[in-house]
Amino acid sequence: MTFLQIDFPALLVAVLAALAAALVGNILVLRRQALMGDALSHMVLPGIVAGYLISGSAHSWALVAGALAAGLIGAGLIAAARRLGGLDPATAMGVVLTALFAGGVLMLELSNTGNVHLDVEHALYGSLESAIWLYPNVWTDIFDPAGWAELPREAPLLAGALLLLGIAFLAAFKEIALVAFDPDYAAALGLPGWISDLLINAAAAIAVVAAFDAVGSILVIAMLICPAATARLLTNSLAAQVWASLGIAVGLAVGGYGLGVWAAPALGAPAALNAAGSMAVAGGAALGLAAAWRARLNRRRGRVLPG
Amino acid sequence: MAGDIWAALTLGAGYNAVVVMLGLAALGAAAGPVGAFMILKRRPLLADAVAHATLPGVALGFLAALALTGDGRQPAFLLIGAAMTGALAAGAMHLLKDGERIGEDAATAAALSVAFGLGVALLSLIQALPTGGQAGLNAYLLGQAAAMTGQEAWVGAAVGGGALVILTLLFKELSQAAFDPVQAAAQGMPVRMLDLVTSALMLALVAAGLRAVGLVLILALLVTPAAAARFWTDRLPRLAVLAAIFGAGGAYLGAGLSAALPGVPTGALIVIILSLVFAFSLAFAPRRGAIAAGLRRLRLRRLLARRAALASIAAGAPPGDRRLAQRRGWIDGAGAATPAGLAAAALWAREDTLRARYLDNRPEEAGRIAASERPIWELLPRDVIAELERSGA
Repeated sequence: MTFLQIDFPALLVAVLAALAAALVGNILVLRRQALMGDALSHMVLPGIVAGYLISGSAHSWALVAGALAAGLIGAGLIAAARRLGGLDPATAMGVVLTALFAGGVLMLELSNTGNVHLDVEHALYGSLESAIWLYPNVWTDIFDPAGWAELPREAPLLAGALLLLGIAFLAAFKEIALVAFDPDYAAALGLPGWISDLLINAAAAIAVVAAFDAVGSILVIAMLICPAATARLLTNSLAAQVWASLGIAVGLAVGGYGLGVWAAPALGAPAALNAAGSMAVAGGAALGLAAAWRARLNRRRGRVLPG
Repeated sequence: MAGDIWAALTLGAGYNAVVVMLGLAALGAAAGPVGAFMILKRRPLLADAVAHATLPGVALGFLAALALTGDGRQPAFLLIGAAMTGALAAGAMHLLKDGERIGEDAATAAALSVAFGLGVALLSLIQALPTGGQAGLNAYLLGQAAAMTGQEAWVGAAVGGGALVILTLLFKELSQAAFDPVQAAAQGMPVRMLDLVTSALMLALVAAGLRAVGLVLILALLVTPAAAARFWTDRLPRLAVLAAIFGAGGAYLGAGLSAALPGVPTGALIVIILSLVFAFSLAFAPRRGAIAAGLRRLRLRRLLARRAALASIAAGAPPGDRRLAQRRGWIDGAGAATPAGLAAAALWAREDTLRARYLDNRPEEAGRIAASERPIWELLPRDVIAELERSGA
């Protein structure tokens, strides 16, 4: 029954992480703010390290709180660099994200506490491999609430984040569509740009922070962008895009896991590949196929001259 | 410890450390101006994607070297692999963004994370190999100049020096193509070729700097010095030189300090130093800095308040800002205008009239005189003032 105890919890965490990230990714892709996901996923590092140093454990809520704080501080610093320095957004992001990431690395290396559980790999590659759930012995045990307390910590955290983001999405779907497609009109209707920016950054930070533990701080970007961008290429309405992105997210998590953990060893690799990395590769493959399909469609409709 | 640091910074930390410091300074000197061009073209984060995308190349280079020579850690293989996948990712980005559904931002983020994921998956494969594992490959992630060999540092110095030479030779063409590509193309310049030169220089610097700075932070070497230099000048040649100085200085200082302080990661240290330079520039630069801009706004607000108060006095009404008017002695305690206040108001009324007449004649000069604290007769030649005085009569 190793599937239930090793693969199932890892898949559960991966699917939840992919769903939470994909949901927010839809807004980022439509608003052309995908790089904010890039910046956020780097900027959380000092917060993670600070949370670790304060709590002394790599599995503590302090890490999550620290990451969230660092993400929001970073977003604030980017806004400040843009306003005070008159920099364009991408330059401000580049400066701030490298500064905060470097701060995190420096803290990590200088706080070398002999028994370091929070190594660089954990923060960058995630720890999907260490997600285990010893409780279930047969399938029906999954639904036994008595065992839920033993779930890997990431699972309830991600489920909570997903629930929060899902409710926010359903409640504010009309506003999100407005802000995504016509921010000027939204501002004219009384939803100023900085408020929607703040809310979107907060939502992205929640998704990034909840998912980094599972897939690592950089690979989160793949979960944010690939499902939403793939869905954007395949669909023509926001609702369809969001639902498609969620389906694609599940497919990528399961497909990537199968690719790296089951298929690669069967094909002769000496060991299972890093699961989060494999999921990112699956995301790239899906996005590439969708882009090729869209390009062919555009050519056939005569919207783009061939060659 | 202070002695160690001083020794390191004055090139006394041993041959290897000196070569590493000079090599990194050369890389930093070239990365500054190249970053300035990347910012000018409004895609500074292309470097981020390319840098992250070098990870699978490093892993593939390791595997190729292992298969061909029996030892995976061959700098040339790793460097070439890094440059190849970095270039591939840039190409994939170009194909992916269609300008309609997938923006440049989504293409950048997707290329960055997917390539990084492939690298992570390949590294986990290498780790499982029986031959020595991935010893040293992690240094490419966060950079560790202390572990660099002299040969690797010489490669860095050569790439940095070569890039500087190319930049100097092509500076005029590159800046023209970056500022106004349409105009440059109309003049028959190979704009796409020059575009490619900038990107190739960026790619070479990223690949050469990986070992020391790491693939996450190499972005800072390109973007931060140029962003900091932007606060000090509006002219591209000066911007490029200043960015080169910042880049070289930060890299030299960071490499020297990390040579003297074992266990301190070079890349992170360099980036922190560059970020401090940026923060200082943002705050204190004389004209474009945040403090200077804030003071300018404050002075302007005071000037406008003074003018409003004088306008009220001139019109015989009590000024809106009584505290200001009283402090200046323009009104007495009861709110009535003092002789000094009336005189100041009369002077202001005359200036206001002249200003209005001048702007009627020369509206395009509005920016020059509107925000100045000095009265208009100090700004304009005497004969122009005399003309203005006459024109109303």
